[in-house]
Amino acid sequence: MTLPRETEQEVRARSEKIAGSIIVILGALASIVLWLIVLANGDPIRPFTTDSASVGYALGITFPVICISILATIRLREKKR
Amino acid sequence: MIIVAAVIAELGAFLIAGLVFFGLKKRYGWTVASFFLLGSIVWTTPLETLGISTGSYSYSSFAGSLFPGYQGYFVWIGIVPLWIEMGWFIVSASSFIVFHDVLLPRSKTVAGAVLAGFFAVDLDLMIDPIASSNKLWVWIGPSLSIMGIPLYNYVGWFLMIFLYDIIIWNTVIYFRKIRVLSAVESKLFSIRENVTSVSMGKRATGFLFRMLVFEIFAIFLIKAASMVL
Repeated sequence: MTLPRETEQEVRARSEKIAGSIIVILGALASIVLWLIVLANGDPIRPFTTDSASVGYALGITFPVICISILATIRLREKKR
Repeated sequence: MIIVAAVIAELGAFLIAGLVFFGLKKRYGWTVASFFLLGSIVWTTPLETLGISTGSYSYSSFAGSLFPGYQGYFVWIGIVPLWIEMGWFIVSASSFIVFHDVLLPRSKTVAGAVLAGFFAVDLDLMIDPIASSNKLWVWIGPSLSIMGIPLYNYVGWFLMIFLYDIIIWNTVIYFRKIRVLSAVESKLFSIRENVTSVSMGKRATGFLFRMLVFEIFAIFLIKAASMVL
């Protein structure tokens, strides 16, 4: 008895899922690290502090990463269906 | 101790680069993943070497701090730490997959490359201030800057990721004409059609040629930006 082989589409979907998951995890990690930096009050992880300019900068640069991570997660879920 | 951050950064970059390589291999196969990784080293080493040798920045803050003869990091390509090139690989490959594969699979190459470039700049807006204030590298020359990081650095990030994205898409994923180079390439490599299957030698030669041409272009623009900003 032979087992059914994966179609090319199935292989592609599986690879996309793995690659996409890695990227989303990386994005999420980057965001978490940055927020920890902000919350750590800048020391020993310089130069971020809790002053408004520093927090504003941190928010401004993490926002696109978080948005892209969310969008990528949604798109990957759509592909899975 | 700050030296621990340097060791963690170096080892962590190798670990994450391994994960990203695994993702690329699963998605595109060994050939594309290997081109992408080795190409990242070839693509970034000249620019990094130029930046260090012209005194824009230095990677030697930790030299001699672990043991006698320690250069500041463990693995080097010439005067550039290898983990820096792994960092470029991580950012370029992540941006490439996010925009060309996941978010904009049916859009034009240039649109994906532009967004990948901006995404990379955004990532570097976090990476660079943290890394340089912890002395993983140190910016030396005076310049217009944000949080101690020269603005021309971000011009460089955009250009390098944008151009590498274009090269990978048109040379490694497919083998397509790049309009600005088509006059020369039609004679050198006889690229006439968009094809996916070409010999490894032709693909590698095209890859190196395009990296050389675009590298010169990028260095020229980054140098101009550093003089203006």
